[in-house]
Amino acid sequence: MKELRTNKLFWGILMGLTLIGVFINGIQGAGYIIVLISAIKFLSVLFQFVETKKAHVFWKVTSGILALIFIVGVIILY
Amino acid sequence: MSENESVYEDSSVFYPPGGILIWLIMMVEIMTFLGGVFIFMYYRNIDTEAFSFYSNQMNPLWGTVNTLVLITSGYFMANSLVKLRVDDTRGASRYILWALLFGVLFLSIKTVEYYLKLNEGLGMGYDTFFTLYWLMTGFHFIHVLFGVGLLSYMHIGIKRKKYSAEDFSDVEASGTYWHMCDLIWILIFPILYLI
Repeated sequence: MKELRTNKLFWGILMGLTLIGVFINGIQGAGYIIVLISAIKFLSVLFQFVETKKAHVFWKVTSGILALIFIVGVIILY
Repeated sequence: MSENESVYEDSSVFYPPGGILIWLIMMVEIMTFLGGVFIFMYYRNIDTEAFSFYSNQMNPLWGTVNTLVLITSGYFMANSLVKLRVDDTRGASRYILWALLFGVLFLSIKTVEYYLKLNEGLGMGYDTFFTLYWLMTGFHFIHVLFGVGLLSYMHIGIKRKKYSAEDFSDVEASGTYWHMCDLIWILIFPILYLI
């Protein structure tokens, strides 16, 4: 089934992003990349697993705004 | 076509996947935890030295393994719904059971981590870092615990054929709740364990 294959692909991407975030930890300036990686993971779970991709545009925009608030907020306070 | 499928085709603002109620809960929960993240970052700026010291004391292995476990659990939950939509209740039941087991694994790992922290005397009142650490991870732990109960109930429901391709809205809402636990962890993990 196509949806199962897509889920597996996203699972692999999420695993990879998590490990990249951990391995680059400690490198100077990596904090910004880690925050960005987390936001990408956040949106990937929302769009693929929670199926926001099938939802009304309002929820897609709201999801994007939440990820943006996270990135901007953490970077300002970093 | 099932009733649930037609809802998707309408893609109404009032019918996001899982239903509007669970989505409102999810949005409020995420915003609340985002508040926690910002408070943590604010105090980190005030006492950079102490926060850097304690942040280095945190073993990122615990957090990393738990992140991988929770993401895998979410993946199984998503697959369970895919199977249920095509009326493969056996497949759905199997996947939701895996999601459940990985949820229990997350709680077990977290419990061991809590035990070690408490043995080291790093309780909630130790300092601001650990007050925020316990508050954020503790509330998240309670959410996952509730989610495990919810998934157990859904697993039994699928086994008893209560849910099918014609009626899976409860399972879908439970899945959204479960992914919410995943989303919250994705936001708090890098703040507490990495940066």
